[in-house]
Amino acid sequence: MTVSIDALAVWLPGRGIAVGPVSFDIRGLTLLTGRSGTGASAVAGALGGVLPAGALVRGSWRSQGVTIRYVGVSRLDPLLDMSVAEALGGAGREAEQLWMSVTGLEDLGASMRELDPATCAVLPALRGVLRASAARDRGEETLLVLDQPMTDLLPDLRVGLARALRRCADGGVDICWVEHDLAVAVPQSDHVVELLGGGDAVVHPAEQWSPRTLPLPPEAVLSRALGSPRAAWWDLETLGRHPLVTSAVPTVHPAFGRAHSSVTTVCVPAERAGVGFDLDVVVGETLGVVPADGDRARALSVARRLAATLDAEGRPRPPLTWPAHVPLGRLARTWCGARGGDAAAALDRAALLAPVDHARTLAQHSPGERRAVAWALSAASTRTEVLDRPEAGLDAEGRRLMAAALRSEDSGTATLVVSHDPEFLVRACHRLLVLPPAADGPDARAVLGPPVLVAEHLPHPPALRRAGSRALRVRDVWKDAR
Amino acid sequence: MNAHLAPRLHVADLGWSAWIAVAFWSLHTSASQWTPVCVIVAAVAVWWTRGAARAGLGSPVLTAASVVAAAWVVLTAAVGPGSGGDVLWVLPEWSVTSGTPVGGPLTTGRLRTGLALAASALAHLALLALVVRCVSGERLARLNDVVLGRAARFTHPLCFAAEELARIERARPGLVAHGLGRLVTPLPDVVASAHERAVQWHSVGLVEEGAAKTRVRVLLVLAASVAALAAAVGRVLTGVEASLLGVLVLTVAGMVLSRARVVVLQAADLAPLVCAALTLLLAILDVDSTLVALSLLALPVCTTAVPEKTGREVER
Repeated sequence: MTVSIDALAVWLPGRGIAVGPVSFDIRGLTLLTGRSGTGASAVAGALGGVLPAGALVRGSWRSQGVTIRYVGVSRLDPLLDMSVAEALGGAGREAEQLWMSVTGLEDLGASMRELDPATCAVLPALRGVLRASAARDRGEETLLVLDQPMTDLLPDLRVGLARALRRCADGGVDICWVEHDLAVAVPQSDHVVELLGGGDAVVHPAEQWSPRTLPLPPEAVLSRALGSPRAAWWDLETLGRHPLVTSAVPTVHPAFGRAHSSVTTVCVPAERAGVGFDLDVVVGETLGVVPADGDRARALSVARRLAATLDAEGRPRPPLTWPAHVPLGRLARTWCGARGGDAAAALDRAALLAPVDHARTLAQHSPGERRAVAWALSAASTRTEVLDRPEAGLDAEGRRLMAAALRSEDSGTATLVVSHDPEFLVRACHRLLVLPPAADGPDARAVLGPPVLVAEHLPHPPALRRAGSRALRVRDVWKDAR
Repeated sequence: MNAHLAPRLHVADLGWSAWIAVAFWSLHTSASQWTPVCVIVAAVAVWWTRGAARAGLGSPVLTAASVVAAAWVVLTAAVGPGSGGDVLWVLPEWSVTSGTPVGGPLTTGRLRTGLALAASALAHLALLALVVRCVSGERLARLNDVVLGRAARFTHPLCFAAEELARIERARPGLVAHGLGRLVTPLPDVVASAHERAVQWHSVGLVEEGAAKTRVRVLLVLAASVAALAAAVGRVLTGVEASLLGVLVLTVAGMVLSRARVVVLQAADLAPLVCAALTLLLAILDVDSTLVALSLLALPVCTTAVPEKTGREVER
């Protein structure tokens, strides 16, 4: 079955033309990607019938006789008070196998509130897979539409979910998958539709696709640079066999404090930091805090304590939940009034990463756009800020720009980043603090150091490390090749 | 193929609903002046021992209670029923040609009536606060799904409103600490957040029943409404009794139609149901109304004796 989309255009209230008109076919597992703001989510919303009231949709797609199941981005906080089986919509063998294969967990009776939120975030997509598979078994033509189901997932879960989607597509379900994590999504896809903005889109089979507006993931960039065939761009094993990759030596940058002559270092006592040793934080550096066991709450707690010490505050500031229903312009003015900085300039910086609108609220922006705003406002602040997964939901180019800004910009304060994304962490942070698993006990020591030295301690190492290279970045390998 | 998953209702949730229904009925039928006092005391005591997950509701509830109490006292002092007793104060009087005069002498009888009405209003508010404190938004939504079927989607935002209000109140110190305290707008935030939660609930929609069952539900609602109305008009039952019986019939019918399973996780979950049954039994046996009112205090005794279970709540 093929779902043909013909000249689809979407106009959203308060935003204007979100996409189109674009035309493409959905066959098998079709990946829909592009820069933030090019309208991939708007297409998914139109197919799923979940656009906000007042939205206008033009164009057509063949939907008669096709059951469309839509899975959108769902809230993580608070988690629903229900069991995994209820969230999956069933407790049968298929649900059990799917849950096991993706998460490694067996108990469908566990309550969602007992699980890690990053694990629970996979449930809506799995429910969609199960429902679509059940509809296919009944002989119904089914289209599963997923809008960024991996935004909140840990790297291992991303891989598990991508494989589950592949199996679902192999079973005869057509899938339209909006995603920004190209390294995970492209290898599993049949076709890639890249929205270029302004109604332009390019469609290619996944094995022939080269991005027009997005940077390729490092493994694909390196494979291309080393002359590997397109089919092998995503294969880490093949990449790891290349002599240049195995022999590459990472570039070691001077420590942030040594590279800057006039830096201030603040010593955070061991008992305050909770990492097993006194921690010197350099004012102006970007320090990544990574939980080895995926416990983001603990990492945030450590980061908040470090921030409070750096700002000479008696106790950590309570966690901030950004007000979701206040216009961005007002939010930025209030924030900059309290923290310093220029509100208009901050929003302009956010707009470099993703389209933001002063008049709309955070709730009316996509997850990636919200992260861009949070990052820009934090960057404008004169106090030490904690960024919680700042890259989540951003497109590859937005992640690259944000990482470069965090790494290279001079700042009067340190920035603390809590994230699970290894590629982002090694590019954005001057140093990484990898927290030991809670199961190792209170005496276990954290690991601190520059990304080159600490990357192997990350719960999910960067792609080039997984390929067997000591290098972290493409240019480390490429400089040897040249 | 997945096994069909029948909706699961926790007996504790049914128990809280039953206890609140019985307390509501007592407030409207009992002659004892102790009934509202007992309801308020029970609600306050249970508040301290249950619903820690929904901390943050205290401030809005107290605000609402203050407004309600003040409004009732002022209104009844000005125009309220009740007379007799000593004159405490003579207010300026104003009256139109037809209608109740406003102001005039404020007597102890009128003040006592005002306080009684304020206590009754507070007791109603306490019951409402108790249900949102003790039953999570999801469980309320599931109860709605079972009772109302497809029509439950219209009530889902209401189910999550209190929980979202609690969350917003909990987030307030954080916003203040970050200099964003001025941006706290509880009402629009609650409306928007409750709607989001309802959408999230729909995304894992547990109710997918056919048109036939929906038609049966519509007929049942019509039949129950007509029967309750007829019973109330014919003075067979009071309006409150007819309404509560109608809700009971719809709940039982909904449970049968959706094949809901009632889950008992621990023996303590039965406490609200047992306490409700005790009060109902005493009222039906027509024992002294003060004793019926005092029986409402059995619930806080039970909840104080058995601490709230905060660990694993859901079993296979």
